[in-house]
Amino acid sequence: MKKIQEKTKKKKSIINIKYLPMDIPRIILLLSQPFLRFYKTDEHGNKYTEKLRGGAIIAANHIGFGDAVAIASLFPFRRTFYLVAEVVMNKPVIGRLLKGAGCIKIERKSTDIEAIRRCSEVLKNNKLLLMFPEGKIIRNDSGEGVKSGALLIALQSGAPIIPVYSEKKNHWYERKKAVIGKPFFPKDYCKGRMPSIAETKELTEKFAKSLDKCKKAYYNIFGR
Amino acid sequence: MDKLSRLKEIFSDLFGDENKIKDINEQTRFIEDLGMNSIAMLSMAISIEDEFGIKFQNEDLKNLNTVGDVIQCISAKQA
Repeated sequence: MKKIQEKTKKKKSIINIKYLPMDIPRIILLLSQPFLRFYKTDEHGNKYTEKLRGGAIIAANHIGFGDAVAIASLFPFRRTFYLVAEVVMNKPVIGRLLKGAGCIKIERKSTDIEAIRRCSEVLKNNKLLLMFPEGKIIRNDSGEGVKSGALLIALQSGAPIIPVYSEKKNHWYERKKAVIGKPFFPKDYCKGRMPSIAETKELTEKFAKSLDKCKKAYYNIFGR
Repeated sequence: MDKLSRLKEIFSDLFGDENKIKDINEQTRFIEDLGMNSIAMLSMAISIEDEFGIKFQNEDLKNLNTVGDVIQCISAKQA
């Protein structure tokens, strides 16, 4: 019986052909860690040393085009998928390259249930999903709200949402800084599998508060 | 239980308001009559997928304007 169990046990391989287009940029990112010099802390200013296991949504603020690469480098040892708007993914060459690198297209202006499903599958396979809950680049503090899409994805998959806040460096020689907040579990606040309209509104507010807490922690620790 | 009754249970969970769902029939429109937004539509679609064991495509959702449209779509997918 033991021999049969050993034979059927599949060995985990570090190299997976399916993820090769995603792994090549990851290796480059990993090798450039000494140059990026990311300084990551938790909400109390302590160095972030937690090992993130299982599927999770990384919800970060979006201030520039390089955000996806910058935030992905916070978790260099994890395969990360990215939720990218249709305006970028619909471009012929870039779109194909991004798809290979693990980007999932989302139609922001319509009910894109297929994207929600693809994201849930990624999370159920214990991968990370990086998304920007505001849905677009927000450069000034315009107070535009977060969208509820991340909540639906988190509820579908049971994954937590990890809020992250980071800003641009003031000088090129500075270390890039980020605050990684406490995981937020939407399923803890939802009675059924999918939220009611009132619950969605409440959850969105709670989610926005957790992101805001991360932002305030960043200003407290690093200043404006 | 017929499809409309099962859908009414889904709407009951979605709205949490018995008064709103008691008059729901096949002609009820999601946006104009029930005031649903895109997130509510997605929540509804995901609940319907779980309840009826079907999978919606994005094209299906674009054509779902009334409860009757949903019932027709479910019947087509289950056939």
